[in-house]
Amino acid sequence: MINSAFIFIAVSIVLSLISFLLDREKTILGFKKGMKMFKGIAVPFLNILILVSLALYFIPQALIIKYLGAGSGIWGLTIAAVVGSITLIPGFISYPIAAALIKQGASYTTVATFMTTLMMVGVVTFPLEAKYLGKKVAALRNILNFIAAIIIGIIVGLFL
Amino acid sequence: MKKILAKHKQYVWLACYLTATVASFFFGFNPGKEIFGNFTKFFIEMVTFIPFLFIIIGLFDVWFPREKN
Repeated sequence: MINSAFIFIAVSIVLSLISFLLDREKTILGFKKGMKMFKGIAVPFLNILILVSLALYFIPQALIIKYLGAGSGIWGLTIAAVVGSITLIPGFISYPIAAALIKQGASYTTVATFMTTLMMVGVVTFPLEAKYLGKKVAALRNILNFIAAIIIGIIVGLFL
Repeated sequence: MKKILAKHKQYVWLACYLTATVASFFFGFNPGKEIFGNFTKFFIEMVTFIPFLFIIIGLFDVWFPREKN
């Protein structure tokens, strides 16, 4: 974890330097833009972290293993897919949640399915999607993605 | 009062948690300490790369502007 963070930091520093040498003003503008976005997301993000650490304490490991672990089978997949379809969480906030779930004994199959439906299937945002794309397209897209997410989960499980 | 609360709504949860954590350490309440341990672990992991992530996003936004309709 620390190593990959170091690589990432090094890459971003190098990119920033190149950008700075090419165009000083653009780079500063980019920094400002990035930090503005960071400020916008910081508090909701901290709130999610608090929620995850609370959940980690209160939900016993045995429960997670039973319902989302390797032996949970079709029910684990169903729970993961349905919960992922309903909840509305930005992509990169889902990573710490996924890591916590795996640490607590959830299988890669269920976590992969959860993350995929989280991003590709939106029940709550369906009316909005239907407004822009039409009901037929939105329904078809969501249903196909739901099925795809389960297949992705199973394939991930086969490899890991 | 309502207005102030609505404006700082997103900080309420954070403030509650901080108060509870400080209280946990003050009174030696173990679950609170453990939850704080979980939180710090996540927080350190995240804080090491998320600011840099946003720097890259910002740079990307400047160099490759989104198409304007």
